[in-house]
Amino acid sequence: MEKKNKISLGDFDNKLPFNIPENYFEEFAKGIEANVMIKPTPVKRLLKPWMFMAAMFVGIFVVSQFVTLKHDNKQLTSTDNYDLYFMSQVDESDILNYYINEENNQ
Amino acid sequence: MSLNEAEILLQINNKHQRDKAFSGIVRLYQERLYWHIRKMVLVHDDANDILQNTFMRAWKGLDGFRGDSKLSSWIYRIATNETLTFLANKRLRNLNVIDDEETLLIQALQADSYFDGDEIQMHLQKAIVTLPEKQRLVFNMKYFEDITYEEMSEILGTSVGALKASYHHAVKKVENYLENIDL
Repeated sequence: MEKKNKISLGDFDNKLPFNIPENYFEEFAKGIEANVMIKPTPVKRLLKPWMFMAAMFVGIFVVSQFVTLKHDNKQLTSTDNYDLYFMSQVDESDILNYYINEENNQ
Repeated sequence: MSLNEAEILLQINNKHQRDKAFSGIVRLYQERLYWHIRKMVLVHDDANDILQNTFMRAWKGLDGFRGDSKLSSWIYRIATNETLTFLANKRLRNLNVIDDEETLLIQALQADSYFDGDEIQMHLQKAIVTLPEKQRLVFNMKYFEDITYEEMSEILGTSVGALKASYHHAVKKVENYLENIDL
């Protein structure tokens, strides 16, 4: 097939065959400035550092007192339970015999 | 009112004027960078995404800008890296696609509503996408933007001699491609 016409780089005028949406650059600049330059809200310090530390120590003290109290109660409860359990395992007649023997010995 | 490079540099060095400096950079370079990116990815939506990433990166790196290179070279370098990363990711995503990268780019361009060229201009774009990526960059920067080899060298980190040779080869390839087209 015979070639009809040839094109060369010289036929183009360096113009790009692309277009963009209307007001694209104006909108783009506004958008990027809004997105990128959002400043983080500064955190307001309600307490001074020494107040914060004091509050922290008071907190630790209160929690430790609470934990100790709980632990003691638990221990007490387990001792009571043990006594009850021990007594339930002893026969009533054995207890009576024990007291009679005690009295006789005296 | 848009600022020039010298005014922006002054503001970058002033901590309280960083926002203004960044705004100045966006206003001064957005258009040039957009076309720089668009010529590589061809499609408007992709160019828009890359331009946003470019300015995001510039904003994060603004504190580190020491003025060792020109502001324009610095921002062009960011845009170029973002574009090449985008194209590399696109290649990875399309590993299982039978069509090659050139075909995919041209298909995307043909479907893009923001392409307003005629048949001959489409041929030129087809010729350009046949070039290797770096050669395509050099060709676009020289042919369409007329950026000096010295500035290109600062942006791409390649010697002026290598850039001249690259452009020469690119022009030859594009001419050869166009010569073989029947109208």
